[in-house]
Amino acid sequence: MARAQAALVVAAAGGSNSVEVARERAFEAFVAEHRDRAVRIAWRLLGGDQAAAEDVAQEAFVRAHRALGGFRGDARLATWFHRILLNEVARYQRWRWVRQRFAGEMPADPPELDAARPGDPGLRARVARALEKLPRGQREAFVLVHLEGLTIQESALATGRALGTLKSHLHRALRALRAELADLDPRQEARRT
Amino acid sequence: MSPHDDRRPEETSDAGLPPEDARFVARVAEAYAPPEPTPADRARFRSQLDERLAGRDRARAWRWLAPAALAVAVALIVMLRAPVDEPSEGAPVLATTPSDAIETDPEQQTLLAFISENDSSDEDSLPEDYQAIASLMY
Repeated sequence: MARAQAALVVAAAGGSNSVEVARERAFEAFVAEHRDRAVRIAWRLLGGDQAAAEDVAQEAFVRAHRALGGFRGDARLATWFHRILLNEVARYQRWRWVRQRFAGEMPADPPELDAARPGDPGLRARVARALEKLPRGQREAFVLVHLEGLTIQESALATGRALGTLKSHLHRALRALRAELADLDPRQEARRT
Repeated sequence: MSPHDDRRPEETSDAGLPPEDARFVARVAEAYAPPEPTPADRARFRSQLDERLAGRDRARAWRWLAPAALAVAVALIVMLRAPVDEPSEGAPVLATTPSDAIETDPEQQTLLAFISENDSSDEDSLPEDYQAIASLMY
């Protein structure tokens, strides 16, 4: 990770052909390193829509590639990229909302629920809906910290929010999800038995 | 993959959840897990990304064409619409050049202003927060 970051920063600073080649190689390594997580984050934030998640992740990589010249090496490349990704997710959601509202487009069908995949497709759809009901800040905080395992510090930097705000979002998100998905809550389970 | 990609959420999160909340979160994570990408999925993703990057480079190479074509079109309009004064007998002939017409015709001035506004592209400009995030880190 640190090697890819160093290579990208050095390559981004120069302009010759060999530097350009080095930059492309470093970018390739960066994509290989972050692709899976980027698609996962987008998938979780976009209600399990695989096509949309890949589209958004690709757009985020294109923007990262374009903006690499402005990247300063003192920032962690992954955090910088996650911020771009979150902005792309938000942009996608805004456009989807505009298309639905003004272009008469029907709301998207529930994401393709592959019955062959392990797990309960119905439950997956319910979790997706519960997450979609959360405000953006809470949804991002929950997905980054609880589902993707980023630290609170990393998530605060990626979302551009203060630590305290992020913790508050996490608390509220958890409370809302526990109410919405009571059957998954061990506390409710204990009360029932 | 980043070094902590393989860690489970409850192991990596520093949210300090009580055990019951941690169990709830683990159940949500298990129920709402994205599909594991296959090597073919990764290859397809990479080729689509390469296509997008190449498309952007092509667009960048050709982006001068639209304003240039517009400028040529306006110049042609100006030349065709320029008043051709019939010289009266004995009077000195005063040629009206396109540049004269540009300076005098407000409609053409508006067109030119439109061109100059559209000449700049935001292809390389990104939201400020992308550029500024480095300063947020420290």
